[in-house]
Amino acid sequence: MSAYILSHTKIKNNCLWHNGKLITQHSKTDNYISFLEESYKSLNLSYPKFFKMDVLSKLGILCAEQILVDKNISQFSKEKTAIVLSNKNSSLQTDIAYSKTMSDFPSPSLFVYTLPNIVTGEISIKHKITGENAFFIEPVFNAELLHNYTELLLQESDAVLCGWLNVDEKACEGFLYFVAKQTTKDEKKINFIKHNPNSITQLYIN
Amino acid sequence: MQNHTFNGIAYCTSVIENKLLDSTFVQQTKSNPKEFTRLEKMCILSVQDVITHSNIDVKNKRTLFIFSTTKGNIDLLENNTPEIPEDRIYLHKIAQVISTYFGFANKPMVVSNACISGLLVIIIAKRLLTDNQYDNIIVTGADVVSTFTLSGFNSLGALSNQVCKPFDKNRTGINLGEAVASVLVNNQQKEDSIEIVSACSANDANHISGPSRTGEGLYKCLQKVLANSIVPDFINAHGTATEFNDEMESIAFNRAGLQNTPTNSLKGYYGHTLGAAGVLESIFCAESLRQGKIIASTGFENQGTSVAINIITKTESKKSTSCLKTASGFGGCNASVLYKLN
Repeated sequence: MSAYILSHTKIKNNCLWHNGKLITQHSKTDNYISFLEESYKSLNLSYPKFFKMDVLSKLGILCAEQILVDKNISQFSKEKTAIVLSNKNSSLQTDIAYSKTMSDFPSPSLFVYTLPNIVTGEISIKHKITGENAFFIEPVFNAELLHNYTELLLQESDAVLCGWLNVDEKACEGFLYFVAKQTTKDEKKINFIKHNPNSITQLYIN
Repeated sequence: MQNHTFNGIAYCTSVIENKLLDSTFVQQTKSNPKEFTRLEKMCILSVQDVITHSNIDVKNKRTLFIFSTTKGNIDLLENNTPEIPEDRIYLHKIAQVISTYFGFANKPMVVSNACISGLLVIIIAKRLLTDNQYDNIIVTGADVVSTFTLSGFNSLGALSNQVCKPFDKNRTGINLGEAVASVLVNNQQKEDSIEIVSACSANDANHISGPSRTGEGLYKCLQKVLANSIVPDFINAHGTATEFNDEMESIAFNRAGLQNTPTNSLKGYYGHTLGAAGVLESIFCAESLRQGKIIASTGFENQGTSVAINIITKTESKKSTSCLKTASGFGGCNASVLYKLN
């Protein structure tokens, strides 16, 4: 079985890239939250629920949107598409935000975001994806782990949305990519990248 | 289970006494209890037990340690514990501390996927073993009761002030509990080993903090794990005793034709142990199969879901060869595993 990376997005240093192309950029601000909200506006996503989400979910929704609205990607069975994500900080920034409300008025709307896989749920809801889930915690981006588990899932799933979504005090970093074992009918429109730890690392670094 | 109050709110929980934990820890490990958090001490005791009983070599490259938790050392956010370095708030750091303590050759794998975490790591272990990547995998699920989780579930109105009553008409919510549970998963078939026949996870794609009204994700899991046509002799459900969870589960079980299969939730005995639940309750499934017993679903009196399921009301001897374990969690995640006694 051969698997390919059909599409990838990255958010880093207040830039949003899709398949290597710069989509949005906000150099004026180093505030990553306002960058995410500006990006939402410039991409014309009409999904008001976005503003209720924590930063991790906002980051994931923006990265996933680029990949999943693509016609070549949306043709894959939503039931047989898995989501495998990873990060270092789990939901720590939101945990801290919630814990600050605890002594006063504990906020249920913050508490529901105090798990790393809530972003998996948000992406699943927006794109109706109902396949396998896993959220791994790693000290740094680990291409080997994601590659290995994705290959195992592809024995039963058609496709996997994978990546790294991490938020800390100073920055947020998102890298998502879509892996499928089947090539699409419309092969010419996409640059196929062979799915291996090396190619994943290259996409993550560059 | 004991009654407590917190910020004026009455709740019921099951916790492990610090004194007992520390004395057991010192006795079993001869290590300094101040160097570890409560969760870490529980993890070390649990993993040590598996290593001692199984005699596996943790220094072998074909041995893996997988750690699952939802909130790890979240109590470090509130407690002032100068002996514990700040970076122990990171989940991977906890796994590393445990791994270093035992000297595992491989770096640990860490999974945090809400309340399916414990069951999900068993599923992941099965996949890694089926692919022959390891010989032995120690899987640990861990979570403690913290002010953070108590406050959070209370803010959602989900905490019950009495012993929880899964699937009952008068259920009023969950009891938080704490546990660390570990199992060894490998490819060796022994006389009383429990086989993981089939396993999977699925997402509802419906709501981040409430289950699908139609039990969509869980139903998808059940269809997959039961595709090999083994009908389970009993089901150990997630059964948190919230209105929505239990309702969702009973709908999913009905849709899968499991409405007559004897079903229990054991959370009325020890509470909802979050990331530990899947491992802990899989151990209860295994022991039920081995000892030929089905355990009463404590707290259940009257059918409390819109469609009926067959709740076990009396613990009794009953020879069973297979059982289904399910779990569901925030983020719309669901998991199920079919176990079989060899």
